[in-house]
Amino acid sequence: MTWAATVRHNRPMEPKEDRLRRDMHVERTRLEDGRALLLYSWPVRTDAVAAPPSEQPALDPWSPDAGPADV
Amino acid sequence: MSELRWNALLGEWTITATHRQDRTFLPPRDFCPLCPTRPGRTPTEIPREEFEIAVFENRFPSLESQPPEPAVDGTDLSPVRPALGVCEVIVYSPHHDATLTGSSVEAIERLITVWSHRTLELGARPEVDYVFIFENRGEAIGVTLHHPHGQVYAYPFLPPVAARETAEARRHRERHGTCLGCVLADEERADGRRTVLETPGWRGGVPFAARWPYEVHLAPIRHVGWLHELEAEERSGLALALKTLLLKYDALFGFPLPYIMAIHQRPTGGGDHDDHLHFEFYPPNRTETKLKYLAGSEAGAGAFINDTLPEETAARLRSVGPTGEAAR
Repeated sequence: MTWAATVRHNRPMEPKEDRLRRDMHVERTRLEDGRALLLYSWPVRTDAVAAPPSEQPALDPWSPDAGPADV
Repeated sequence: MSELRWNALLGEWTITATHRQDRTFLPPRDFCPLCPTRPGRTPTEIPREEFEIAVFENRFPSLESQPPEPAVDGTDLSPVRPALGVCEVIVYSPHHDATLTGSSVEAIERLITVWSHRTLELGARPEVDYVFIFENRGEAIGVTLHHPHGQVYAYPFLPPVAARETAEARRHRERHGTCLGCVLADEERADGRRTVLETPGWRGGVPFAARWPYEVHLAPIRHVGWLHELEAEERSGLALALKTLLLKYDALFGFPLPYIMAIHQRPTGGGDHDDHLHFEFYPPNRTETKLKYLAGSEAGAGAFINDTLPEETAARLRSVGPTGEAAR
């Protein structure tokens, strides 16, 4: 049994946005028809975008060199 | 037209959403609604030339923050109510051909942060009882858009699977005073036969009573109920676990394996809940060329029949793709 197994969690949700946000930026806007649009960004992008599949070298997908790419 | 109709025989809500019949279905790549809007091209759902991760309310929602009145009158036995809630689309990347599998661990961590943020925001709404984040991958699952994306459903009720899990967790705690998820995780780690991967703070394995041949659950070792409760190192461990599992799935048969990814978190509507956060993956393939369908026993009786042994499928998944840090 882990230490946490005896802990009861009966509290409501408690926003902890600060811990999540760190350097995350959320831009909130509306589409023309009124639907919400949120754009998440970070000061430094990680995405080093992957080439389209047709341009990629022979795939060794579990190579440490397989990434990075955007999500 | 959308509404909630009560299924009196099963004791659960069905969402009727007729407008979804008209939703975009496998559009040509040049008309992908999830790509950035390019100058001179057809506007997409995202009126920007560039973005990292975008979230927007679904154009064809099953649940709406301002739902229409129901089309029919209910009865005492069969009530009907407005389909109140939220349905969002999370676009993982501006790049049409990007994949989670090909993403860096850091990029997946950012997606996890967005999942956490959506859980916090939507879960704080008084009308929302459960925030469900999921992804469908592959046409075999019924994907209608290939651009990498997932979805969020914020339900005004506890959906049936979450209700059963919550009830079982509560029953276990009342009987034994422990968290069911923690105990199962401890047992599975000690046994080891169904373990597929381990990363810092996380374990992934084929469940003892898997419904699908290559079903895998990922769960934090620590007792955590919501994504936003994860510490930074646990978020990193989850990102590595996700990437590792997806690389294994893609290596299994040599093609991107279709799957449903379901994130099971604690309910948000208050109450005394003890659910242990976990991810469930259900690939429909039982072999390279054969799919498992939900047929008579599964659809008609709710009793799943698995054509494989979880110990054998776990061993096969362990043997393909990367392990641990090699996935980075």
